[in-house]
Amino acid sequence: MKVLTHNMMACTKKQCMGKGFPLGVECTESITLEQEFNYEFVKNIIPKLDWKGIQLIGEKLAITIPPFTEESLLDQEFLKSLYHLLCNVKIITGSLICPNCQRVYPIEKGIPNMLLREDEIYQDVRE
Amino acid sequence: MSLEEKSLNSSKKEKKLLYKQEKKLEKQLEKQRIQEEKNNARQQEEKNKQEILNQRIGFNEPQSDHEAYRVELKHVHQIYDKIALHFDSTRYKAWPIVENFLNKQTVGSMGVDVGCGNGKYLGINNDIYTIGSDICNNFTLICNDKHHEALVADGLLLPYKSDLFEYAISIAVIHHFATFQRRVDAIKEMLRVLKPGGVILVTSWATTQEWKGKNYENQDVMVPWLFQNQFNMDNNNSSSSSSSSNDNNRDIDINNENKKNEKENNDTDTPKKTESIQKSGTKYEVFHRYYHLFEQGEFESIVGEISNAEIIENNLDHDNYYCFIKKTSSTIV
Repeated sequence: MKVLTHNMMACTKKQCMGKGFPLGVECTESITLEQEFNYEFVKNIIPKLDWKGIQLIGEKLAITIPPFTEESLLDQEFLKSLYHLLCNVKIITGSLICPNCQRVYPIEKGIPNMLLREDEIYQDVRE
Repeated sequence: MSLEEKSLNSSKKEKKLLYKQEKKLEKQLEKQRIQEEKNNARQQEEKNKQEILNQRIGFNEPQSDHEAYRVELKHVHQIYDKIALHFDSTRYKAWPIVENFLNKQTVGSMGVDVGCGNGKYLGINNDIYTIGSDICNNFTLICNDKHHEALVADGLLLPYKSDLFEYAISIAVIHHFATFQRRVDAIKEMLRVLKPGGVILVTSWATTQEWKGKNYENQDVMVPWLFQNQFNMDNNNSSSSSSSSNDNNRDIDINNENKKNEKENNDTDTPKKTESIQKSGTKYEVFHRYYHLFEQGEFESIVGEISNAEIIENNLDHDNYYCFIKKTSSTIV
């Protein structure tokens, strides 16, 4: 799971709609990729980013990004380090935690498992 | 008028009233009887339908969302988890309609691929960011091996924030949902994560299957997969998938490629438990996947149920319906 993916995610539970993000992060293993910096790409995704989420995951990965300001868009160094964090850092093992219901979703082999159990989806159904 | 006449008159009236009431009661009873007959006939018809369906696909039409969930788990998800690696070796050529849709997105666009399978569409355009999801863990492992972003999630419960993405694709997935309502819910869930103005491309198999030289008579069918045991993920490490998937030298036409495996089988109507067959010296295990094939007008019915969506284009191509659906306004939760 790349950091950019985390920035788009939320808890899957209906009760957490609008409240289940940013997901808390635990990381025990991560890797660094080497994709080339893409200026247009990073410039265009900035309006969609949740800076609170970036702060939160950055802390866990010990990568600090300076606060975003109007001038940041012209700051090549800022954009490069932002791109690096979003697209080149990948969590391999760890977990995601909903800030609303505390549900823990595991990340294994780089893949978050966001699937709810049957009894979580159909908790009201008695058979 | 004398008192006698009056009382006679009123008793006449009473009689008349009584008669009327009787008639009314009779009518009501008759109505009830007809209704009962109708109900019985309907029940019988329903029962017959269920029996036919049961014979054909091996289970009854799901009567609740939970039942449908279980049907999909058993007859779709578990089957794909088993055949994922083999499936991957047959699915590598992109469908031009999907390819064009992804290539025309602007740099920095973000989207989701719901039911991404082996991740065929996750690496089409590197200037955009597509997150794939599939309910089958083995498919996401294959995607991850190819360095694509993928996660395990239910298409009806996507793990994303609302009103965020520019586009969504869901290619040959919606026909695996077992009720009309779940197909509506699947589209609704994709719309939820899109920005207003965002577009979904969703495709499904059609009842018209020219490649087979015949049309399906029924919409709900079991489609066999001839499974070669060399693709068993239980013994193999998932990383071996790359050996079979990177074979891009074979230039197979899209409509052949899509049905390469199924084409050899014409007995789609004989379902149920695992069986083995021998074909030109190779032993295959047969797995059956549940499909609800789409008829003309079916996407219109689905989108008709959704207030903040409209169809931009809906057409048939290579025996698949493809439908572009636009989100017209923000999601109301």
